[in-house]
Amino acid sequence: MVRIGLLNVFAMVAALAAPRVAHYRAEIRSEDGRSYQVRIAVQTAGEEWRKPSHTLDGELLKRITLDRAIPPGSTYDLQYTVPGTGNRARIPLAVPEIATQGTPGSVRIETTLPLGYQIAGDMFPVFARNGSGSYAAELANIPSEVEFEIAASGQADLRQRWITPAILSDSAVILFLVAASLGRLFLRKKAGLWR
Amino acid sequence: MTVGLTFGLVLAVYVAALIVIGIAGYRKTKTSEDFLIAGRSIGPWVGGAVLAATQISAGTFVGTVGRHYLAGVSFAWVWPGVWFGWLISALFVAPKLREFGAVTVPDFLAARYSSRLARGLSAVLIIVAYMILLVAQYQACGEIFQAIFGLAPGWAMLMLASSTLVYTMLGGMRSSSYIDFLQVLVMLGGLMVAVPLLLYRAGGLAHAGQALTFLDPRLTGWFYDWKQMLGLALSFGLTMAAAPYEMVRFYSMRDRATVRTAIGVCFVFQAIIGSCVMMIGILMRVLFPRLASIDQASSVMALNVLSPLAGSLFVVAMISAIMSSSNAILLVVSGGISHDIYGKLLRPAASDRSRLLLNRISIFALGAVPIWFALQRFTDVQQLVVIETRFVPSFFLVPIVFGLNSKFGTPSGAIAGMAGGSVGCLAWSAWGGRIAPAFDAVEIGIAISAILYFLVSAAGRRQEASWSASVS
Repeated sequence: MVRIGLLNVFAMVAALAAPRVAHYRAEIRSEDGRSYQVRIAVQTAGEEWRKPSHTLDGELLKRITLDRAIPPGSTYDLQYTVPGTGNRARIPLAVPEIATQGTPGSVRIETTLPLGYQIAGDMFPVFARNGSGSYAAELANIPSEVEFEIAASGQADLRQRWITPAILSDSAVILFLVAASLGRLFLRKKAGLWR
Repeated sequence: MTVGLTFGLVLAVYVAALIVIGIAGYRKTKTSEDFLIAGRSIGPWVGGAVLAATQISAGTFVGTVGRHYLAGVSFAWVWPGVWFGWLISALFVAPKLREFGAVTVPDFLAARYSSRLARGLSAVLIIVAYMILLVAQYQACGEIFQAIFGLAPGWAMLMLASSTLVYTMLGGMRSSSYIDFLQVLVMLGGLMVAVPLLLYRAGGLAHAGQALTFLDPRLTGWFYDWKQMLGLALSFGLTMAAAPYEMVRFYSMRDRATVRTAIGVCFVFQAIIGSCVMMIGILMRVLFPRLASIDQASSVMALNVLSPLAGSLFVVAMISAIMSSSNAILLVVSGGISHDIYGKLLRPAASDRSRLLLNRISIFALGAVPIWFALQRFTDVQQLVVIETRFVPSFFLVPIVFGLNSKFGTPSGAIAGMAGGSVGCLAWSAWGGRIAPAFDAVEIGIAISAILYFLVSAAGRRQEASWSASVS
């Protein structure tokens, strides 16, 4: 059912002339795990961005609006601090109310954890470890938040390692495929039902 | 394990299953009737899954998810339009068409209106309309693979065409029906695994609702006004009520009762799929408030939100949707060539064996040619499907619905309705929007088709009456 499309086409044509995010870089840093400092650098492309505004998800749900227009090709910074909650960090990112150009790697998120800590188990988006306590993720679009669990190096418990949403969803996939195969065999035996 | 490797393994298992079912279907396919309508052996469960899989195409996973991403919850009101279309079909079209016992839709038109011209015209219109839709399916496949894996679209299209062609050519309708059943299961699995994970990531339903309202209050209220929604729902419904690639599926079912039950089963599958598609669209808006293109919502979810295995299953589900629609299109179009044009118009004395062979050859040719068109990218996927969606009901709805339910229509009325509806729809698509943008080309096409159908039929009846009066 692709069916609707003309409105999409108009939206896409309008979007071509609009300002876009060329590069988005977020640095998340914590000294003690109790709070996270977020520093965001945004480079724009296309036309001048007249009303620069950003949405901030999480508990805050607020807009950050700059008091001046952003000329094309220029870079600006945003900085804020988010409190941590125990071992779990849910850090909202300021998302510009203009889209990226959609090229892979145009969004980079770097996270530096307190010394001796690591990301254990669940995380969003998927981070790759750079060095001790430093992680990076590269995407084509800006997520509204970053989420991960931390644990002291080598001390992640079984729950953190194995009961993650990713592993649970993979288990659900396997369970579904097994149940569907068994169901198909059962219905095939009862030929009337299968047909 | 990386997404690429996991996806490769999942896809390999899936394609192997398709080929096994294709070979099993090949062994049971002896005649051209077996090939085109599975020997009228399909029951309600498989039949319902087949109807759902045929309708759920690349657009559901790409376009409809993207539309929910843009417009929010209220876009779900198009589904009652689709179900209204199914209801019309269940009450006035499908059971009667099945009872009529034809093999293709032009078969019915030729017999109902006693007209070879009606058969030829409808077969040609079906071939043109559905080849456009096939180009859209190939193009969507190319875009999905390019977005997720950076693969050149040509290779992706070649892979899709070759695997779909193999199972369609081998087993025809029989294999395609059982494969559609498998594809619906894969689609359900992919969607039902994705939704809970997205909900978790979005912080639960309550937070997602607050975030959506904060982003744009229209996302949880009304995005389009009621006139626009009514127009959209009507277009969907009218398309569903008389879509030849769905009607051919009715022919393959056992009897009238099976057709009605299958439509009910199809409702259930579509309700689950429709709800999941809505949830994915709106939850992706919470997680990625500004995507570069709304059509990327599904691909971004598979790549960045789901686990490698769940993401792979979802991508395979998207490919399944494309495959099932491509397969249905190929069967309808090849039936138009081998059965209607060759078997009934050009060589009525042709043997069943030669028709079966021509079926397979035409599927190969028709499956390969659109790759070139898709690579040219004349326009985007959405636009291609919109053209087809408007075109088909414009020429088919009136002659089929009234032909099945009334004795009023005459051969010349049916031909005038089909020709006028298609020309009217195309002309309005090209120029009409500037004159009166409130009216969609499908509404104009159907209106012209209906007016011509009744006027020409009435004139023909009067002529017949005066002629018989003067003779008496």
